[in-house]
Amino acid sequence: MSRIIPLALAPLASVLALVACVGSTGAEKFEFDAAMGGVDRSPEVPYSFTNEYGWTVTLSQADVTVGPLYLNTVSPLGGAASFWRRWSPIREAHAHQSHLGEGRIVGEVLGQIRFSALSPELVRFPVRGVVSEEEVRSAELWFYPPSEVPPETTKIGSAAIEVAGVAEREGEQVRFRGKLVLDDVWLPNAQVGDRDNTPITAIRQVRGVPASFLPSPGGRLEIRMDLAPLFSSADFSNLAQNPMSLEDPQSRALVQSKSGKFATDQVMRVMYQGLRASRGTYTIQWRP
Amino acid sequence: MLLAVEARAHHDVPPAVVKGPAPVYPEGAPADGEARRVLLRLTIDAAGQVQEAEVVQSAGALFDQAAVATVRGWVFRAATRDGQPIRSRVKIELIFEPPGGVAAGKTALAPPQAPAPLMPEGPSPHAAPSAEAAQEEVTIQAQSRMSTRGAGDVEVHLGKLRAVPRQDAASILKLAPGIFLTNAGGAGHPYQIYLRGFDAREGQDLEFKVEGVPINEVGNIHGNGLVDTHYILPELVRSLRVVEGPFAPQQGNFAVAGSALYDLGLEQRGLSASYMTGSFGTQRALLLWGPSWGGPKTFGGVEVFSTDGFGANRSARRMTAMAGYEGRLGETGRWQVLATSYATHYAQAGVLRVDDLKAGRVDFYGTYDPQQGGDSTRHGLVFRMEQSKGGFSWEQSGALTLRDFRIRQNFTGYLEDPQRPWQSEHPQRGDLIDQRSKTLTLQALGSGRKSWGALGRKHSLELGYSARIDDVDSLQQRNRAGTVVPYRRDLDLASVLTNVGLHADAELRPLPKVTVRGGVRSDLFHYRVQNRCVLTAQAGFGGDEPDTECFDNDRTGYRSVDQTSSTASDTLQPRASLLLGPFGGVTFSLARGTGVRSLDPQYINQGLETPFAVATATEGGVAYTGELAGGELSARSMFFRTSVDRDLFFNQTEGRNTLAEGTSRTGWAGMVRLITEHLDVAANLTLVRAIFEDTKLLIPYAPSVVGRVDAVLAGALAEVGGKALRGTLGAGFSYVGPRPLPFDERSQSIALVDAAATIRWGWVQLGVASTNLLDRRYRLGEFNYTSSFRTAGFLPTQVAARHFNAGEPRAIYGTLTLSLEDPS
Repeated sequence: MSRIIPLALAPLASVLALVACVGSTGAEKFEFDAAMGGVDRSPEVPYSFTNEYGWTVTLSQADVTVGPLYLNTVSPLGGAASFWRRWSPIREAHAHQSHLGEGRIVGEVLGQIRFSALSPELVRFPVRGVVSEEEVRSAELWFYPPSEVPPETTKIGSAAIEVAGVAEREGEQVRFRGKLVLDDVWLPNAQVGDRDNTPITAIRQVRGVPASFLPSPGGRLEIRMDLAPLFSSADFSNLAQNPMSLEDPQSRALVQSKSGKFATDQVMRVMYQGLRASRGTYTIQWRP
Repeated sequence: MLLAVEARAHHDVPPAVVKGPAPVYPEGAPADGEARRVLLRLTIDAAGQVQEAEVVQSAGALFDQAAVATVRGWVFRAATRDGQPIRSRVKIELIFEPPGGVAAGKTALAPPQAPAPLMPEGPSPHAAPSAEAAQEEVTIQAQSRMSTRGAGDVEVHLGKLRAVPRQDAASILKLAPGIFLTNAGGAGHPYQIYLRGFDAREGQDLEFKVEGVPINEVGNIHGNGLVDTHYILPELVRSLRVVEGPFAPQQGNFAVAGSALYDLGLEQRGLSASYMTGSFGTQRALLLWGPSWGGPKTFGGVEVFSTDGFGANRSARRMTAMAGYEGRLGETGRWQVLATSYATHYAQAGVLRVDDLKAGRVDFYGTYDPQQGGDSTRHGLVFRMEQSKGGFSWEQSGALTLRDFRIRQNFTGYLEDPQRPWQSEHPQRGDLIDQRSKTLTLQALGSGRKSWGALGRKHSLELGYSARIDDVDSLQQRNRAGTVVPYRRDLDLASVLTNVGLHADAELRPLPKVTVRGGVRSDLFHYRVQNRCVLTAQAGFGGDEPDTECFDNDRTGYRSVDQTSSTASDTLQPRASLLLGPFGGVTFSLARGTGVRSLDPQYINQGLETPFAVATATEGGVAYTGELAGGELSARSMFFRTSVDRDLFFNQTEGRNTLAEGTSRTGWAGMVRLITEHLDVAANLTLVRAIFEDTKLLIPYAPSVVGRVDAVLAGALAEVGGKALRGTLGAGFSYVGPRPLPFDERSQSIALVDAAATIRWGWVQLGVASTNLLDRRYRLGEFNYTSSFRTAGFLPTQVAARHFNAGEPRAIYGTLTLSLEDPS
């Protein structure tokens, strides 16, 4: 017996030390704060810009409702299968209809906020985000209906953005007001089986927004939205036939419609494209 | 609770060896390589001591004297009649192997030299008029079995440890070091096995054999190599041998982490009936029959089991029947047939998200999807023959298995149902994965071993083969949430998988106390896989009807929806072990070997040489056998390292194992067991570091610390009505340290105590058992991956979150057992 004890204990002690060493499975996960606001500018100065058609647009309202947000490991133009995609025991988060075709979601902010894109003041999401310590190459902004509404619902009442303002060109002035609702109006006229058939959930997603950072504990995510791309090619002269806004009888209403007396106007279409543009509208930054 | 069975005769239990040193080849005897056999008739008193030893069949004076001297030192557990120790007579055949090595096949933890009674002989043991005068004759053959491969080759005889609560045959594995079992899938779901840092899932990395025949299921869609041990009645497990590495050439496919070899049999003769009932509406009825005219391999057993389960969606029903018969084959051989039949239907709770639990959105013992569950049937027939004559022994086995398997699991909720261009608009329909495999398996195994003498020592060489063919039909579909209505086909395979293996295993003793065992194994795997749904997705959709599951056109036009691929590969696996000793009971060992796991049929490509998962294991250890406090003490300590070039990991998205990178495990394991007349204690501990070879990151889910202690106290408590009142008190303690999880997290540790007590008087036994005695609320399994069960609204989470399976709370069961005489 006296021989056994040292025989057993000597290796035990050494291997205990080995096992006790801190090991890692990599990619520590942690929480972070995320906030969103308009471009960094003086709030004292009117939000104004001139677009491609020479219209000087001055916005008095730009309320955006957005969420959730996601952080992806694949860059916007990427697509190569990653190590993780092929070998990871952890499932890839790309398979949902609204995901990037490739890549892996490593962070998310599973909440929604409403903020004024006219204000540089950042509005914090009501819930903290979660991210693993892995290189982020792109972000996704989803303009989903409220949490209690299934995202596949085609008819919704919540607007992704509500705008109001004045467009002026060569003495002509057009006051406008409108709500962009991401509903079935924006579904392409495609049949099942057509390659350009796009589900409603994809309509509500902006994917591939460029980002490049390695998140670290203690940091926060800042997203700023530039409104100029939403009106960059808007021709406000097209609003002449539009009805007057109910909220402001002096303003033309921006129209989105597939049927009825009025069709979706050009300004609304441009705004839709600008909201969903992966480049130019949004700036993603990680603040350590 | 009482089973109405009338006792019609006495219940006799034959004597068994408690302590018995191996026979030592007498000095001066000729070392011609031939084993010598001496047949003795022993008279054993009621205290288990040898009163008389008479030579019945001589091998010469030297051997006769040595045989008598050997058995004089043996201690028996006395035969009993109705629980009363009685005097008995047994025949013992001692086989003297030529000198030169350690006691072949006698592992440190095995009870002394094969105590199993094989064949009753002479007058009926029940003919004696009184207990005092009763004499029973049984033949005991003291021949060793397969040779040990080192310290990591552990033979576990249950002995008194049978009294520790064990719900099934798989639980016996925990007596071997480093094995941790989880069952997240319900009472009918196969166990998930962790061994030495391997997440062997349901057996993919561990070869299982029952009565020498492999039971891993090749091509099972839930996991290639899956093992379902639920069809084995735990009461019919005589011993379990676990070889914790691919060290013996006899180890075949899936012996990556090692092998688990079940030896079945029933020691107790007569008819016994037991009924168990307890927590969660659990009921179990069991009938066991061991006819007095047969040995332990002749038995019958039937079980009916049902439970409502310890939480939502955990009910299970099963029935099992096993029957074995053993007959003589000439003077020195035997043949054996084993028939098994098993069916189960069970519900499964599945995983829960920790954030849902914390927010009160789900109960700890709740479920998300009540459609989870499974069905499993298994019917099998095994036939074996073996014979030993002179210096040559051979054995031959054949097996036929019919297997049907179905499992429905939902790991991810509503996440994996993307809207495809060719599909009608649909919401997320749910991720319930419905897997089915139907398999017909034919197997044949055989070997022959020739022994010879040289250098004054015995050597031997074994040549053997194994062959099996599996005809597997596999299907995986996705069902709509809360229903069994499929909406998508993931996989539809018809596979014919053939494996032929040859092995050569030599045992050489070049020097005294030096033994080299090992050789080589070669396997050829042939695959013919018909994929009946090749294109489940279309990049350039067009031409097919909307909502097509299996496309009949591709970029070059029409094609058939099915396609067949076939290939074959072979592999050579050297294995060897070196044993030095014994030196005063201490034997040192060094072992190294290579094992393979065949590829899952879903990965087969036409003509491409099949990549195997190859494991290379090295182990160095020391084993000790000696005496302590009048009992037998055995202990072993071993270091090990195993590398696998292509490992498998469970993918919750796919619902099955998928290939990953190379991995390695390095660690230490130790175990100790003390057996005395009234006490049986076994303890083991394993420490392991399991990492990915390329990144050196820890492998998720594999526990780094696993420990287990089993202890049983047994003896006579009093004498009541002229009969002994005997009792047992058993307890088991399991500890599993925090397991690494993805994203650098750790799971909670698990520490559980199980306990049981029995009291027996005559042919009646009452038992009470409790699992999780301290009622610890614990997470049996913990995982980090992405899911979206829509419990907190419809914003889809896409980041990995903590999931868990609830462990069973405290359960208490009562058992009444009536042990009845064989009416024949």
